[in-house]
Amino acid sequence: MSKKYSLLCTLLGFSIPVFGYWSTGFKTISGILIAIFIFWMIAQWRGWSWLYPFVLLIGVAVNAAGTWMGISPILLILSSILLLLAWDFSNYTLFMQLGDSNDQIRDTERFHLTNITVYLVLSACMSLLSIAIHLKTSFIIAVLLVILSIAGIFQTTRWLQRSR
Amino acid sequence: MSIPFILYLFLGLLSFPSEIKLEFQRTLSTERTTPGSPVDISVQVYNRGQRLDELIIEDKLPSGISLENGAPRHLINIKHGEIVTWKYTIKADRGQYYLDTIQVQSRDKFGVKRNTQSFPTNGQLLVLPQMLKLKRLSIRPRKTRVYSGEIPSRSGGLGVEFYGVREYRPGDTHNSINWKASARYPSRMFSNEFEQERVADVGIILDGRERSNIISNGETIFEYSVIAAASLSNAFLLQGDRVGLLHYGKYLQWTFPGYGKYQREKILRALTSVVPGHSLVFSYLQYLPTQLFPPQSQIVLISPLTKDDPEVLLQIRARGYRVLVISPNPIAFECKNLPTNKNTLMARRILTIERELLLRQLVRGGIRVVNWDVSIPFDQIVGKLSQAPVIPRSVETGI
Repeated sequence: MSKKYSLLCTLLGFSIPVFGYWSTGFKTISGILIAIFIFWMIAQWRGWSWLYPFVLLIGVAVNAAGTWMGISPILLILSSILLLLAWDFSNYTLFMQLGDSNDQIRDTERFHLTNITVYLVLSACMSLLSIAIHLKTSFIIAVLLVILSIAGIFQTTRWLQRSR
Repeated sequence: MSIPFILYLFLGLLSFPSEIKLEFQRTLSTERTTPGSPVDISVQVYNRGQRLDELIIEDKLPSGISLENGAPRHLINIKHGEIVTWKYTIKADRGQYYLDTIQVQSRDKFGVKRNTQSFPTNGQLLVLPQMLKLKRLSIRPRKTRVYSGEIPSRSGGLGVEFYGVREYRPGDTHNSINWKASARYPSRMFSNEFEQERVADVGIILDGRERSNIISNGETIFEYSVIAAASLSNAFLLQGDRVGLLHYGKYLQWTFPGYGKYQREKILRALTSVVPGHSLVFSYLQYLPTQLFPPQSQIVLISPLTKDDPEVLLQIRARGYRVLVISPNPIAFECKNLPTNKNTLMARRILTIERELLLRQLVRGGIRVVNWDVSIPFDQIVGKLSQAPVIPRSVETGI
């Protein structure tokens, strides 16, 4: 089940910026995004889990850049959330493979889906709120902030995963 | 745009279980088994603490154990006070295994933070070597012990086999009087004397040298030597003999001689953990510590043999020991996994001749040799050892 969700989230998460960049005339970026999408699909099929964070990072960075190119920020935030969910589901699929086929896989997946739904609602609400507040910064600072925050999150995640 | 990420991290960390209070109980269907026999393992998990979700619990299996049925690793969600049980079946190679750890991997709801914890448990599996039931083994060491047994002791007394005639002594039964001999002498009487049967000292030497134990198709001939050692020690102990075991391999592993079931257990446990190994010192049999064995006792060497071994064995024989060599045939063992073509057949022929010469050298020196083709069960091969040993003239072969 989580595999299907991962696929769906990846597809939606990439199709939004592809459509956005295509409609604003940046067709090359759309092409690159499609290439990244295919690359992620291959990574998921081959189980190259180490590639997932990089692809997510690129996806979110492209989305962040899109806000200065006239693409709707709501759509880009939604794309970022979907990409994050795709990353989560991809990892979760790998995690589920650690269990036995006779384990309560369905129940566990349903439980995870509930958590994700709660998170989705919360993050959507908070993001919409942040758009409503309208904090304007320069493009460079915004991009740097986004990249820094994502890199920081990954570093923290890695550190926490290592710590016992 | 960073809000969803921060929220994801925050919710993840918030949901991480603060402490894991689990109790484990592992039950094995048997703690002693033979190689290849299935063993059922049941693992019971009891949660004394808070509800735990998405736990990966793995019963760590040491190498040498293979999974037959079920799985040792499970993904579970466990409530407070709940008990979760699962079963699986394993098979193991010969050896002693300690199943002493269960590993628990916990994570938060989003997999941001993970924690792996090991819980100590009790569990031990002893995979003893296969022990075949052998018929009576006939050996004739020069020296026997004082207790009565089954080995002719070369001295007159109570027994079954006729030994000689001596002058009548008060106390001799009427049945024992040799009337024919007595009739020749009107003033003297003679009695028959029988050969006393006693127990003997038997030293079993298991050759664990890497150079003599070949590996073919992932299987080692040493396993057959271990089966032979276990079966022979059991047979000798059942006969009442005093048996000791020496494993001559990477180092010397000596099981002090003894009698009975307790000794059998000691030998079996020693055989459970023996593995072939390489040592520069013990590469050749010349450092075989024969002083461990009582003088003139019976020595049983279980070895595929190498071309340098006969010299040492003949020296041991010359020192007064009776030597019996059980030699698993390495040529037949290796050839069964090789393709049958002209070259293989030729090589086999040459090696067989060489081996035949090597074994004949031993036989000529008064050593009893059993050439064992391991494709034939050991109990069938040693059937010939139930006959009384005479001066050996040929190799007793299983081919």
